[in-house]
Amino acid sequence: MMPINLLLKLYKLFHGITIMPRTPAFSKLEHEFLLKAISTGVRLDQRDMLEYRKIGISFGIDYGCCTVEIGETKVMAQVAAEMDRPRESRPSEGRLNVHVEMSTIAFPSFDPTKPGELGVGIQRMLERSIILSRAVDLEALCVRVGEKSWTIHLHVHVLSHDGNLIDCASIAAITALKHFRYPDVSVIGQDIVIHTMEEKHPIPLTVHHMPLYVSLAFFKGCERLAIDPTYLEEKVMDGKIILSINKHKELCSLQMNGQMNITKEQILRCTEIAAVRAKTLTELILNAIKTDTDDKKLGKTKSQTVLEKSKDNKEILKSELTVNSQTSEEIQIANMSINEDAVTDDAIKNGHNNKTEKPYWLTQHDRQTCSIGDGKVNAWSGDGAESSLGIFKALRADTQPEEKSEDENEDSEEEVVILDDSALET
Amino acid sequence: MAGLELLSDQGYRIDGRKPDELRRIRCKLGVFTQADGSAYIEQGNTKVLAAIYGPREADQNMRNQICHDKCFLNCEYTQATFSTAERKHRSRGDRKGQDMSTHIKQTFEATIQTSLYPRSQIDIYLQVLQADGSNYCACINAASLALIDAGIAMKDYVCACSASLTKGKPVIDINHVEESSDCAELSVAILPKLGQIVYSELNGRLHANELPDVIDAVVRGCKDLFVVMDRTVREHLEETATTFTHS
Repeated sequence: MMPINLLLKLYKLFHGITIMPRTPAFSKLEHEFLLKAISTGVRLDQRDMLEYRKIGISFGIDYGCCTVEIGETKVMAQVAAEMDRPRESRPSEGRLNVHVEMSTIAFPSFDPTKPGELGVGIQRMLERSIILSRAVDLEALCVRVGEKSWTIHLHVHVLSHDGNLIDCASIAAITALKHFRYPDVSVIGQDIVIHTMEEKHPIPLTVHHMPLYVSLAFFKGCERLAIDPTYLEEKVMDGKIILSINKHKELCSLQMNGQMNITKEQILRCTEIAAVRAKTLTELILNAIKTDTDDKKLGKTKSQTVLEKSKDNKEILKSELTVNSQTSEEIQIANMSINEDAVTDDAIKNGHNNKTEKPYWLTQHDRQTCSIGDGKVNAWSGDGAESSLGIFKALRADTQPEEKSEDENEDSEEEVVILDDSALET
Repeated sequence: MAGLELLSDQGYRIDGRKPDELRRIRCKLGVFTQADGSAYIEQGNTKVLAAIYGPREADQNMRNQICHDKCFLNCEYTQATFSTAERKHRSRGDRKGQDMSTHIKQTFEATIQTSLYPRSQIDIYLQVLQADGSNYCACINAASLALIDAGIAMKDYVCACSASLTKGKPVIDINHVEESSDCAELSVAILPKLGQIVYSELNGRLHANELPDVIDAVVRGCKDLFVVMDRTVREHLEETATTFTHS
């Protein structure tokens, strides 16, 4: 029988190990290292100070469903329309409501019941840039003045937090709004008839302009500026300036967060940088929506558009405050359709700006798994590279003759979503 | 209101001001006895009360925010139900209030020398009694005066002012009517002696080329405001000094 105090010690030790901290611990050493690196102009993921991470926009089956990834940050936006009474103070306009959900899957310390400062911040910022700047035409949503109008609900779900949530959320929100279509309505005398998707084509929303948020973080007494901060960079930054700007260089919202002491010239420079950025993003969004429309016509259920790490700052670095056009910009837009076999790592790697040689002892199994030495085969997915992507298939009976299914033995008459192919293989 | 001209042809605004004129400002320090620092400010028809408690030991339910090397700030912004033209009950934790509290907190975190008060808490309570535009700015000014009254070390005064753009001319210190019109509204808080901007917020649409003029106008407005605030503080100091020497 062990002495009591020894038992207590063991218990405390065990207890300490099994309790997970709500936020990952961030040591002072990491803090200092990051700051030191940034003061020499080096970021942890080897980006330039004005370089964005890889951006991917993918759409779901429905109109108005869109997921945006910036690096590891992932946000999904879904738009829904409801017929309702218009507001008393504005009887000839529809409504647009923004809801932001922060669930624990995004980050361990997020509480789904309380949006918290971050959630409230995102919601208010989206409201300001989309509603206050009149990005969406609400008057067109009115069906009968004072009685019936469309209420548009924009739901933004944060799926993964690795910094720069606001940029990601704003791209997702605008793309979803631009992608969305609501049912056509006929007013016949006293009756209002809402047509289904089959009877009449649904109508897209009128989006006058696309205000997009760009975040710029300041470090070290506001001397160093970095665009698109990751989670760790956000932890060590002084503060950031968040601008909502559209491609016509109109500022729809501007806000500073954190402890900032900056001059007017710095604000103007940020505006210039953001303007160039917004132009690139607008083109990307329009391209993505176009690709998706084309893909949907061919019957493919999902599509994805990717913008590799891009630097659109060559012009900015040359001349600080004058307006420049983006002639020398590298935009590589790789269109991928998830249902195709052909999606492999090469399609992603081709655009990589900073590709370094892999050491010989590193075996890459698939996009996200690698091992030292040969290692064992990944038992979860049978083949390795191909089947790690494109696992999700919504099978619709006859409308997709061109769909190349990975596994020819599959029963394509079932109306079933198969999550993992390996279960079917013998 | 449609058809209401915000800037007349002679260059006068709705309330008869010129575009670069501030509203009448009245401020008072030390209005409460219990709080460590307090102030009351009137900017035109906007009336705000501020009370400061601190630096003091951290609250029980705020234990997790204690920092070993600096103090943390807690800010609460509330608007009275009778503050607007229409009586509207605002609950404690509503979104706009929370948003405003966060911004004010961040502004002062940048100004107060937090490293001088480790392991403590400073509370800022703001109550808007009458809202007639530029709420954020009035709150910042009131809190700044209250912090000076409380004797908390700051880098500089914090002066905030708002501006808008009408007919191509920037107008400063906007009231409620100008706010609810379709124009852009820029609120900026600066440290007047250092000339640095600690907070800025823009609502509404503004072209990037028009931004420099508006920022210049609002910074000038802040500096004018600083003159008024400084004079108030010095007068208050003289009064309290005389009471001490006499008693």
